[in-house]
Amino acid sequence: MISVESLHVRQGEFSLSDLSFNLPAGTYGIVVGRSGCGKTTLLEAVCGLRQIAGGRILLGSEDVTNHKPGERGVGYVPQDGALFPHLTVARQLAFALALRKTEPKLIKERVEELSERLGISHLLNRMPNALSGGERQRVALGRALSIRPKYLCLDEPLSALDDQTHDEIYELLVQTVKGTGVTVLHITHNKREVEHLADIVFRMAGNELHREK
Amino acid sequence: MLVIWKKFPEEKTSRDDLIVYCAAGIRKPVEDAVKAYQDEFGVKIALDYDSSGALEGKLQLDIDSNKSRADLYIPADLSFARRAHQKGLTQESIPLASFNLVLASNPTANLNFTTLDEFLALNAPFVICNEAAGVGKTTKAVLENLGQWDSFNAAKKAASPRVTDAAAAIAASKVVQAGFLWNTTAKQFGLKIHEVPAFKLISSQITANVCTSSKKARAALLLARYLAAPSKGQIHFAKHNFTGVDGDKWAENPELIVYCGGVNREAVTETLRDFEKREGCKIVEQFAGCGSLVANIKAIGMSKAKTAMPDAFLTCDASYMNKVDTLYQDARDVSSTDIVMLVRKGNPKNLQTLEDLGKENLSIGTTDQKISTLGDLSWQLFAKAGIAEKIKANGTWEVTTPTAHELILQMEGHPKLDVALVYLANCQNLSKGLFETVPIHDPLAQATQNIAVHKSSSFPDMTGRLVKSITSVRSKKRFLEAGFRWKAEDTKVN
Amino acid sequence: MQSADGNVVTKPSSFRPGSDTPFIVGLSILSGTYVAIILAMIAADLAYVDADSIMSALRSKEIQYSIGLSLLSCSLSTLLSLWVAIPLGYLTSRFEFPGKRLLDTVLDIPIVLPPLVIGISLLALFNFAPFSWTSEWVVFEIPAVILAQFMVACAFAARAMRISFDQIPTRYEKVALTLGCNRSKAFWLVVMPQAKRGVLAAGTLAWARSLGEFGPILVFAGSTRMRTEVLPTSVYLEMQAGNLKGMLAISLIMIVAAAAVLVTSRLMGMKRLEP
Repeated sequence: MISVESLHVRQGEFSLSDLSFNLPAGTYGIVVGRSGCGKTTLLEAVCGLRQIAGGRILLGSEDVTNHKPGERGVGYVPQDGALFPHLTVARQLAFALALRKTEPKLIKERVEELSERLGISHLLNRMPNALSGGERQRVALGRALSIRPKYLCLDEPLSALDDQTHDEIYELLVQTVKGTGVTVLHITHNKREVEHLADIVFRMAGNELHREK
Repeated sequence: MLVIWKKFPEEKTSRDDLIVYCAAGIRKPVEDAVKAYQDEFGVKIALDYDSSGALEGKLQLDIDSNKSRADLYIPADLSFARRAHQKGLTQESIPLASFNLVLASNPTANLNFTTLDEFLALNAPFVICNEAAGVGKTTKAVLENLGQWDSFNAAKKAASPRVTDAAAAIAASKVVQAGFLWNTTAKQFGLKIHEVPAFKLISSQITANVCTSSKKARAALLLARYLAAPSKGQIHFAKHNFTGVDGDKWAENPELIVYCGGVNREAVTETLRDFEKREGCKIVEQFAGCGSLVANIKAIGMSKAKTAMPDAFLTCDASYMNKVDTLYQDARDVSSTDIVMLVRKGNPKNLQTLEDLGKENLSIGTTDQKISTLGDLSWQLFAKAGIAEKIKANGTWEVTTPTAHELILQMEGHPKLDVALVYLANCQNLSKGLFETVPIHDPLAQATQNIAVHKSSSFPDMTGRLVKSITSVRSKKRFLEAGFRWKAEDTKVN
Repeated sequence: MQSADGNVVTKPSSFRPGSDTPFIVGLSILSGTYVAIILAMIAADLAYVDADSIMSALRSKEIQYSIGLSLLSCSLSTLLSLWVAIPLGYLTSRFEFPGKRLLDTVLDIPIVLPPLVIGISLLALFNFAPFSWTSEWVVFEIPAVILAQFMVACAFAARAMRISFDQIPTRYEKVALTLGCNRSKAFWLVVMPQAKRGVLAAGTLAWARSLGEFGPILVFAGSTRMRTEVLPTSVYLEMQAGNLKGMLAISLIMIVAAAAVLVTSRLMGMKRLEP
């Protein structure tokens, strides 16, 4: 599960204070809220990319408040994917594995497996600037999943995509993530994604988080 | 606001009223030129006419009685000007014109002759001016040279105190029919001029001399320059048949460009400022290493911007003047400075003579041999002392720099160098108590600074006066204080 | 104007944003003028020298040494500068810390100081430990040349690297962190590959600056021929000698050498940067 207790985060002028929520293990949670209400700040805090001024973050039963991002075992897909501009798709997928000094044979297997599942096998040697928006999101997802994380954080993964691609990605997320035991924290301002994907919905407004549904 | 405003008008050339002592024979052109000057500048110039000698006497009287009357003295002959200067009555001397000694006669007398003897044979009554008059003095001198003074002096009918009086007498009365006059005076009075071969090359220089007692030296110099300027005063001299001079072109506030070797800075700056104040001119000086100055001069010479060419060049060493000798001529020696060994206080490495530099475990600094006279002389001195090879073999030759200034900085900045060969004049500003200089007893060990005027300067006369100023007694004091030796001949110019 | 259903309709937009031509022409004239002046300056230099002075300069042992030392010392000082400027640029780009503004000001000092002052300051510095321990083989020796060049070139390179890093968004590093990188790995694996162009720019800047620098070298290293003489020193020495032709000949050699190195490194850099 992903759990946050009395979280205080300061970001320049902007701050979150005393936020708490609980996302049970294996569920697909979506946080909805207006642009600029602090969803990204919350997400990044969970990933370990923000300085916490107070409160706790728990992943599973572990208090990871002081853990580095790489220690938390969280897969992170930022807005528009943020693929490394200098690496091919194959190397993006292999990145985290290579970091952990995995055997090349095993890396190859995993990359093939991931690219099959995500429908990007034909793109393995492409560079990011030669991919479409939807293809980029797939690769980003694959990169995040490469190490089989228990938690996944998605920052508005569909905002830059057209409607048709939206549906494709919904399908993809349902197939590869939902119901696989991965706890997903997905933030968006779009209600449609809630209908398609969410098990639990949280609404964020005015520095407060309420559970819906 | 008002204070600042008031400053500006005061900066203009002083428009003072002046008094001018002018020899009678020069009256006409000076009168005309002065009138034009008065019209142009709105000042009053009072002209006092008399014989050159009489005026000299007045000057002496003024000085003796501590009065300041005359500002400018214009005698008819150079000998008067020189004597006045020697007596300390005058300072700067600016050439204005010249005229010739002639034997003139009343045209109606119909005198014809070709030689002086023929003239004497005619027995015509003639007049010779007194020695107080410039023409009288010249006449006597010339005739004495020809060995005919006694005969002429005995044969003369009359003597006259002033040349204009003599000319008037010849023109008007029958008492005298001829006399020794200036050609211009003769023409002025419509007399007939006789060509006497013996007088052909005898001309007398007219100069305007600034009176020592004058309190308006700048204004006096301004008027003198005006009289000497081809576009101004010279027109009037030509009009009255005088032979003019090629004076400086006219400018109310001339600007002189002066290049000085950096080593001369302390010695010469005050003199430049004094000169500016006295003459009412502006001097734009540039101090730099002589090498770059020479490069500049050459560059300007090649370009079209000829007005940027410096009017005067004061070198750090005469060898640099040689590099531009097609442009700067008649250089005069000014000063010299010795090459010394600069060591740390207490002379820890005990370097007493040049030979000591052959020791091991030393760090020696020199300037570049190829491009600086100092460096070249340093190595010549090493060779002469037989240590050049030793220094190279010992590896004690630590560093070379383009000029002595960097060596000084290096000695001051870091203890690595033990000794540097520099000019004594470079060492004036060193932190006392940290360094010593050890003299080198060799005639090679010195640089001579000289100065020359550009041959196409726009203001050659004024620049010439600047050179005189830099080689004057007052300037000498400043050079000596700055650690130089004096090389210019002592003059009485202050 | 009225449409079919009787509503008033304005004409289809007749507003035009204005021609681009004056703007382009203005830009071209400004840049063209500057480029033209630079080329004209070089042409003017060429007009003053002749083949003789250039050949004799190239044949001279001292000039050959000077060219060699310049190329060597500039390359070394550039490497040193990059070695320091890259981490310095990254530090000032990514991190906030107390005294950062002071650090920025300090980094500007070598750029602002007159060259001679840097030379004297270095000399003074080597009066004190631990620098004084190395005076023997640094002061007035070749390492002094490299150090003097480095002091100035690095300041420029650090500025350039900071700007370069500022332009690389931090998102990539964040992603890399979540994938298991520490900051060091994130820097090397993700940021640096994107900074290649910036490094090339900073490097060429540092190299060019090093080549032209000679003020600090004069005092700190001297101008000893066949030892600490670099190309700009040679130019200065010729000028001190009043030898205009020699000065311009060496300057032209300098321009050619610099152009050759810079163009080559840009071309090589471009090749590697293109995918």
